[in-house]
Amino acid sequence: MEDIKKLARELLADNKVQLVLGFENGTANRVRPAFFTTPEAVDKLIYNEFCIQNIALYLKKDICQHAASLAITANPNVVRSILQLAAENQIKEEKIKIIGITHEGKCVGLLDFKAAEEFSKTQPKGLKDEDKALIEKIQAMSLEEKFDYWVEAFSPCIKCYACRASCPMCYCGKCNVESNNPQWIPVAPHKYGNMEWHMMRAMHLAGRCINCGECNRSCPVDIPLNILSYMLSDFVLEEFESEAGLSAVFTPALSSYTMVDKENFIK
Amino acid sequence: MEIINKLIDKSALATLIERFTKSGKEVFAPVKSKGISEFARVETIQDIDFETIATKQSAKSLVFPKVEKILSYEKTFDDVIVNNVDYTQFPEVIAFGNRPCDAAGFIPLDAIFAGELVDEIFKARLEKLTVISISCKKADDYCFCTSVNGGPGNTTGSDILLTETTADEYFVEIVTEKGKAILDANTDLFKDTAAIDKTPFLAKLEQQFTQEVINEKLNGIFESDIWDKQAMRCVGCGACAFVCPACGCFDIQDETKGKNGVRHRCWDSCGFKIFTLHTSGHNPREKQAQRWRQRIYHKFSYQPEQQKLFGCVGCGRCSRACPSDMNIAEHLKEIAVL
Amino acid sequence: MENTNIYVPYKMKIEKITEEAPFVKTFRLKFVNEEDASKFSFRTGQFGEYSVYGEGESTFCIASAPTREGYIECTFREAGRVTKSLANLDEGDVIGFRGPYGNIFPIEEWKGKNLLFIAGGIALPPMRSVIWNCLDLRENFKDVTILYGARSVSDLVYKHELAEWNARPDVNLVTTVDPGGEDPDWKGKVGFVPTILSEMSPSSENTIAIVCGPPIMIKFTFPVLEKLGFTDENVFTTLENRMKCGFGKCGRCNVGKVFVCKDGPVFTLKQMKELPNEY
Repeated sequence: MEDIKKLARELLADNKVQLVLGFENGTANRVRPAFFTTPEAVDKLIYNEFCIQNIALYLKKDICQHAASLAITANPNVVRSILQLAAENQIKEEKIKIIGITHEGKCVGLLDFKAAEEFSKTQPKGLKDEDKALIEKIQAMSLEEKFDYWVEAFSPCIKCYACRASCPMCYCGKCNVESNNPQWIPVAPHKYGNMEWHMMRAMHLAGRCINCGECNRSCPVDIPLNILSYMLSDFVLEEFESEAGLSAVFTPALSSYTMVDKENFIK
Repeated sequence: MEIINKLIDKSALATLIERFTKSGKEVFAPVKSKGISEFARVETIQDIDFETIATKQSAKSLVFPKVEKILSYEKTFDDVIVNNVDYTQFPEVIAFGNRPCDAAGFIPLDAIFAGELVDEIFKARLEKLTVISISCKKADDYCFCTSVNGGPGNTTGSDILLTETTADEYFVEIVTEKGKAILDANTDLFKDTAAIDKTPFLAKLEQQFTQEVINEKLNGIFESDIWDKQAMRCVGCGACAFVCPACGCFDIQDETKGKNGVRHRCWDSCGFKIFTLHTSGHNPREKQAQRWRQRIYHKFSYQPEQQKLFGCVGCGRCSRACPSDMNIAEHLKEIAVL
Repeated sequence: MENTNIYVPYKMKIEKITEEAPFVKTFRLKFVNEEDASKFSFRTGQFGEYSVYGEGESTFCIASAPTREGYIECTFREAGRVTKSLANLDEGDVIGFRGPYGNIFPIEEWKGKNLLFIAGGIALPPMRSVIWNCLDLRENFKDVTILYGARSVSDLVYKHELAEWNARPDVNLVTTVDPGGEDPDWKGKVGFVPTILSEMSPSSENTIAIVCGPPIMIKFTFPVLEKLGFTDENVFTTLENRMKCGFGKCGRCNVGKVFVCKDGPVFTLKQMKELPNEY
């Protein structure tokens, strides 16, 4: 952690960045995102195994948009998010300094996008055993069973949109669910309103989601949204040989066409 | 009415719950499923989670569901037939095993839906609800009821309050006529007792500030930069409002299928950008900091002004649910010492 | 069961549709049920929620005067989902109406005073209700002056009524369009409302000013009125904010501690100055 703090302090002291985006101790033994603008403030910066919230989210918020340059403490999920945001023309390399941190919490120093791409490849997506088990369980289901499983899983949703609000890839100024003319997605959090919302979001993230799992972590009613995204990512990888978060120059599978695209869905 | 003191042992409590369900009342209590405790329909006392300090969501959905029909309509060639909701047919509901903060939450909620024009749908649900709360033996780092005029053994909003005094027995406080009706119909289950001092059986929770101080401070800090500072890490979701027992803001939405449709009332949150967005694109609360400020002012300044009560019961659910550790008690403490 | 559900609208029939300006229409609405009509009354300044079933509700003021009994009118611009579907309706179609909600222009207190109405663009409708209300009780007031401006000639609403007011000897009507908004036949003034008001320089003596318009017009009009000597208590305006319920429950239209729907929409400049800038 000390090397991360040293790096952050130097960047601010040397005026290389105006803002460091990282973590601090929160309340009730939690950690939380924090914004550091002076070398002295960095005393409060922390990094430990609990710093898993995907803070790449804030890159699209006012505080980061208004900073001329910034650094971010970036675990593999954050690095993948940054690369994907760059691929979608949402951030520029010259504005951001990536303080790379491995899954194990080891600081690998500053990463430019090229180095970040290499880093990403060496840091595979983390998936908990219970997640793997759930994926296997769902994969063994028939189509009807899968549908019923997800309708049931979405039913406790209260449409607080914490999944969307916490997702670095959900940066749209106006979400499709807020578009009411026509009303594509029912606003009410009933069974089918919930299903349509989560299906729509999953489809908009297919091939773009970097599988950080923040949607599930932020969900107050613990819907396994990360599993849905993970399964879609797997599908996109298998069918289109395309994976998000590995390159800063990348066109998501669903917004591109290549000659080798399979057409096996046409029946 | 004056509080009536009784005792009930746990087997008698199990019988009481069985009698409720057998008589057609719907009993909702904290139930633990997949590691999460939420209010759910129960049949017997075995279903109930007595341990969890606070369910993820509050008990408000018993009177203010996340989505509810407020009318339905049928369209014909040149006419519309509108059907009212028959709110005389709502079931009798028992909230059981909720915490005193949950019970207290019904009061600010009622103040919103009552008023000059009474929301009869809400009122009917509340009238059909009997609240049997259980005092808190434990509190966690998020609890702050004692800072907002509540407490682990507070009777406000409860019809009956149970306080566990021994491994096998509860001290019972019958607070309202509704509570007395339950006592009268089940006298065989209760034992007489003198009033007892509950303090040894309650969680200890230090008062961190007073709501009166917050209210006073808010008079002068509308333009303070504290709102920007506090809201900086707010992600702008509605989790805080939706798990809050006292948040009553809602949206109205139509849904049509063919010629028939339903007009719904569903939960909404002042944390959402779209909440106040004009059709013109103008937004009176454009920044997240303004929306966070609205949340605090509504609960600690506007509601005291309009309804002579505070809109926060100190349950800490919003803080527990927040994905980025926006801890309301911490923020209120900051305000209190400004 | 007697209907006490506050969300259930009255059933109204569209009796007459007037095209006011591009994308702006006025509906004259009549109660379908006689009983509703006999129970209903409103006062000038109040508003309602207008329903198109399946699309939702939209908030507009009642643009007709309470002195014109038997119907209500609303004027709206096609903008969002509900107003677009309202605009597709024909005479004879049925819509829902909930109301009246909100407070009123205190015209009783204005007896014996001069009235200065200042309106801009689509904000004439709330003003039209109070103008007709006062003109129908003309003997109660002294001089009546109306200053109305719009972006262009085609954006002026209530053209027939403007002509009617223009023809009345007991009304002083001044119309203006923004520079560049005039056409060759335009006989009114050219200039922004605050500028024209400055030129007119009406006396603030024993005069009530009622101002409705887009935020930018309001912003520049208030200082002119102040300069002319109007006190904050004698300047009235109406606010609008996004609403759903209309009666202070849904929680979105508040400006500080006041709900625009319940405590407004009519406010004096004095009250406005006590509100935070959240409108």
